[in-house]
Amino acid sequence: MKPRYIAMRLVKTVLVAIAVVLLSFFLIRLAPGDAATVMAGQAGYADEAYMKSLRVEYGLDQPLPVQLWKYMDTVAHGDLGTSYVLRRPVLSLILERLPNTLLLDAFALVVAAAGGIWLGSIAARRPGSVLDSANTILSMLFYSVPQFWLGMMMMLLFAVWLGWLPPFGIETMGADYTGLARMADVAVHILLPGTTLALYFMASYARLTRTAMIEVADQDFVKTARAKGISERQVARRHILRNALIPLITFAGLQASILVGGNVLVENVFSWPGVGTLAYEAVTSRDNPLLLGIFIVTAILVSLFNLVTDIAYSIADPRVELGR
Amino acid sequence: MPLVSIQNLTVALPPSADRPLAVDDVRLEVGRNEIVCIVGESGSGKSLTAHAIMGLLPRGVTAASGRILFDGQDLLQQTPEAMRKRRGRDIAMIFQDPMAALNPVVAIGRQVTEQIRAHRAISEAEALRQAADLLSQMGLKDVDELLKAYPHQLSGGQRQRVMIAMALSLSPQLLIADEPTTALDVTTQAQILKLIKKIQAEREMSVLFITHDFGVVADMADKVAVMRHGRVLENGLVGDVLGKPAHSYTRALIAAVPRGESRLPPPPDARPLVQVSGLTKRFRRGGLFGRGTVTTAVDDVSLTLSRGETLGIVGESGSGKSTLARCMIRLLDPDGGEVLLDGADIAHMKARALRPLRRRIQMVFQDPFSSLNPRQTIGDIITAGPRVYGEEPRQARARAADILRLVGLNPETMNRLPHEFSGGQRQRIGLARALMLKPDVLIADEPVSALDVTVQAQVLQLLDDVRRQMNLAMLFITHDMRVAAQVCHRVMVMRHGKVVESGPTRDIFARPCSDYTKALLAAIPGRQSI
Repeated sequence: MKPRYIAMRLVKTVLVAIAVVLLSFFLIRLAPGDAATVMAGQAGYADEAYMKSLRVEYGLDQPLPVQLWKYMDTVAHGDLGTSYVLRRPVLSLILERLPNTLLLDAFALVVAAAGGIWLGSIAARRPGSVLDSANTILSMLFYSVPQFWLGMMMMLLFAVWLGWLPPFGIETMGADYTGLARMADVAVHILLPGTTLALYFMASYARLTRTAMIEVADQDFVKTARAKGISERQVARRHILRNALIPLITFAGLQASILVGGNVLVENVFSWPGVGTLAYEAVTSRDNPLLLGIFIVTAILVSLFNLVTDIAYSIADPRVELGR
Repeated sequence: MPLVSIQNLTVALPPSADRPLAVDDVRLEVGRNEIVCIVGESGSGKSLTAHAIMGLLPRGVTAASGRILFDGQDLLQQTPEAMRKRRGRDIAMIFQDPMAALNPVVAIGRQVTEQIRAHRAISEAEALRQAADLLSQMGLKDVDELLKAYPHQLSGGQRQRVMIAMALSLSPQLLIADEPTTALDVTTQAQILKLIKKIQAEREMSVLFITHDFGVVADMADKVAVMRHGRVLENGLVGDVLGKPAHSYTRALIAAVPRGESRLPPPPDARPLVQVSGLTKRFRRGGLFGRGTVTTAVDDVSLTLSRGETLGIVGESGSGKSTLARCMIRLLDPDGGEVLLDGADIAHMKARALRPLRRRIQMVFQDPFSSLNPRQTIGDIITAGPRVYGEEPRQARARAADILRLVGLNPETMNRLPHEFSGGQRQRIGLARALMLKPDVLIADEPVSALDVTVQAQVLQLLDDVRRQMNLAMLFITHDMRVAAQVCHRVMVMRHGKVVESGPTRDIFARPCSDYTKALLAAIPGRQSI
């Protein structure tokens, strides 16, 4: 491992975060209306004096550069500001929700990767067979169906009609389980949203694995492996799959990056208390500090995931050197 | 009883193939303790014959009839599991490109032990000890380091030695070598051939050696079988076949092997058209935040080239010969030195000033498959250059017909796509593309190394004819001394980016000065016997 390279990447992560703040700070303000309008709307009346007092209270009356400078200053001190609507520190709001999102992501990632690789390697064994075609069709189906629709159908089927699984939330309200019982409760709740997310990515894993394995199976070193007299199983696992999995690392990194900001649609459909639902609330209530905070945290996590992906890649493929 | 007796073997191709049979009624024997060479060009069925012995025919390809007796047992009747046990233990195989034949992400040690442990119940540690032993028997040094290394960290020669070590790890009775030196440099090839010969004698095993090169046959074989279109045309002791070839195709194959003797006289002294002096090119890796490393690929190289003359640049991989060519046509910007074309320095010219001069230096590339755009018709490919220089499309196409005729292709093929042509034909198309711009200088970068011997001979002849007819100055880049001898008036030998030696071809071959040139000449396979 190259500590120097990793240190440089971390510095770049900070630069990315700053760039994200700058860009989103202005982009957010392009939308008409501000927090004062929304709050006044919620309060039910909106005379000029009240609006003005709100704007003064939140510093919205000051020129943009001043607002930006003040914001950057607080961020630099590790404070992401206070939510206009929820009136709590943004950082603690995000940190409360982040573990839920990461849990859902991890579940979706593991299910998608494991299922996709398994399906893909079955399909690759006999390209053109019935199994392979069925696999391709199913993959295309899950890939092209909108996630929120798939989520609603899953909910309808498994929660409403069959009644097997809870329709929404992360745990049973008011049950106050502790320890193992609570874990089991969460596990049951994660199945629907997690699988909805996973099915979409699983399709991609299956297709990528299938293509990569068919390609690798044609390589000379696979012929060498057979010429050595090792068993077909070992040829498939140690030589074909081992090499076919390398490009999947990039995809897994990409998937993690896509998911980490919270999946707004799926989290909302299943009322999953993650960053995605938080972001949705922030957008609809023009809660700019909260939205900016989510952007910054997401940007930093995406950068870190990219770094982890690169490190994982260099471990999986000895030909790849970090920093080259 | 011979170790291997192939009797009336027929191998069928899938219905989608261009012909029904890849191997047609082949009879062949490999005796104990002897080296049998199968020689033939691509598509002759030599490789599939070998794969049939291994029980490793590709999917859809089947042994339709015949028998392959190994030690009296018919291999075609064995169960897959029985064949798996034989592979690696009784019959081992090494392949053409050792880089591709080794798993890139598994350490060398593991790749060797994997084979040993597939057949013997021993621990990984014990297998590693055996692997280390084998590698040192193959003449490899720093064996412990090597076991931990990955294939890309080894040289081509080291990789092929690892492959051979692996193949020999269970002392097989038969070693099948499928073009094991084709992807290697000449000097490395000579070492590997010597190694195979040595271990064959030491272990008294049988070797089935597949090659396209009669030079290699002359050096290696006890017996030789000549194959073409799936059939064995001629079969016998190597001395007999080489000395008195019975079949006309065998005679043609032997005749097509470049002699390694210069036929061309040095050209009369003429005013040089191209003058290269002190050309230097460095490559930097890393940088930005890291320190980076600098490789000098071309180091202070000077040369001259006149009209009507062919200068050969000879060197092994990594010698800088291709980088030199790329700098001369400004596909790369050199770091130092100058390239004078008719007195104008094109090495430092601005892009705009350079553009009108570009057509005067044209290049023919090594790989006739990747150097033509697969989605463009031949007509579009070869008229693209003139059209860029403002020639009327209709006129360009009319001229293209003439040029196609000149390179021996039918002008009516102009609307076809590259994949409809053979390797040799594609190389002719590549040449036609270059000639369409009426260049003064033609740079040919390994133009025949991807081609079969008989096709190679035709393309070399064509290049020479074209040079003569159009009074071209030709720079001919090759790793093959024999090829250089055939077409070059003068030769320049390069190594590690530097010029080792240069002079008239005849002098270099007759009286090489540097040790490196001597080693290159000594490495030419079959030099004494062909």
